[in-house]
Amino acid sequence: MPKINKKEALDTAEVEIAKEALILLVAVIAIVAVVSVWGIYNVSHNFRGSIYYTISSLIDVNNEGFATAIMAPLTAFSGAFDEIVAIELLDGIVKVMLIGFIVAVFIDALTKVDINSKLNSLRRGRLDGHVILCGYSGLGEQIVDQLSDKKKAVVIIEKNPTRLEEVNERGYMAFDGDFTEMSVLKKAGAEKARAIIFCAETDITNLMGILAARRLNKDVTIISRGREEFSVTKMQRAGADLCIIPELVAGLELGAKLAGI
Amino acid sequence: MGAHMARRMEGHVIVCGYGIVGSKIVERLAEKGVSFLVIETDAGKTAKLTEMGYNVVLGDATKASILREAGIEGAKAIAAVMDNDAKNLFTVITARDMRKDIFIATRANDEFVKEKLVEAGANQIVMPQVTACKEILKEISKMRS
Repeated sequence: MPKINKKEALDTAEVEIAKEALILLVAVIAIVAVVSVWGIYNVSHNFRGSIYYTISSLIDVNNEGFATAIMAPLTAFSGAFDEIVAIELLDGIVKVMLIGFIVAVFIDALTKVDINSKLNSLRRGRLDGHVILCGYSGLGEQIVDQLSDKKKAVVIIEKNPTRLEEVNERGYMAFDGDFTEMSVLKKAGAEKARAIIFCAETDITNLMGILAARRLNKDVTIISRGREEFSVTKMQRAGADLCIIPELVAGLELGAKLAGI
Repeated sequence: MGAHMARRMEGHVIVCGYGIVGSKIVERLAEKGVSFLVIETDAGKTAKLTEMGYNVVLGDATKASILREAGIEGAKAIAAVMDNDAKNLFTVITARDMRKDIFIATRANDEFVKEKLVEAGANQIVMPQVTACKEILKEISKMRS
């Protein structure tokens, strides 16, 4: 399914960007640390002390730790005031960078989470004995409404974004995609479904869907809507158990009524 | 078939629109031996119907003159089953204006159109989608396993 592939590609691209940013951040921190150690060592000639300052400032223990840490060794090196200011500045930079980075990652993760798809994938695992409706057309809408009234699990496959949004708004479980593709049907749990209903606008689309569904699941009940009378035998040969042409059924019903007057 | 013959018809059913619904109605009526007449705007379809030996009027069923030509005065029922809700509504209104006692059957795609059709005087309204939906649900509840 092309749409999913595109999305996955996008996801990996974003992960790579995050990785690069992380490497850059670590490099900056490392350079800052090295410079800081080198700077303090130049003044104090106390290697352990300079490492200690650097690390404590990088990790930001200055509220309590840094101040006390300074107080003791401060006497050990004179004229260290400028360096301490420099360290404090570095400390601020690293802290802001880290906090900024964490916030950015967090927000990025939040915006990237597609709640519906996450929920769907959670529920997908439990799909069994459900009904799959392919194509949320006028007829499809009616069927879904009545099935959910009867507390039956329904999954909808629809590729039109506007209709898909409508489905999501109404709280039905939906998958974005072309139901003539087996991978999409599989995602909707076609292998464990009780029935699959095809309600697309064109007979050809429904026919393709029937073929794919029958290949995936030999026992599932397949129902399809048709437009032309000659489609019925084709759909049945493709594996449909029932093919309904709404206008035809309506015509027969009216005809019977009119003949009986 | 000439207009004069149609006007002389009595107790027949007028079918407006020979689409899928119309053709199935015709099928049923022919089966039961009920006399009927089809109004259709498509000359190709009317030619085919004439060939089959059915009574046909070429024209727009929303027009009173065409309905009169189809012998609405003597008809027992009329079915407005074109694939256009507005045209069906118009035909229902026209037919009800012309005859208070005729049985009017029609089709609707939308629920709100159905209400309008009832107000306009339709006796029987079929909604293809609703019917199909019922059939499908019946099939699904049948296979309880």
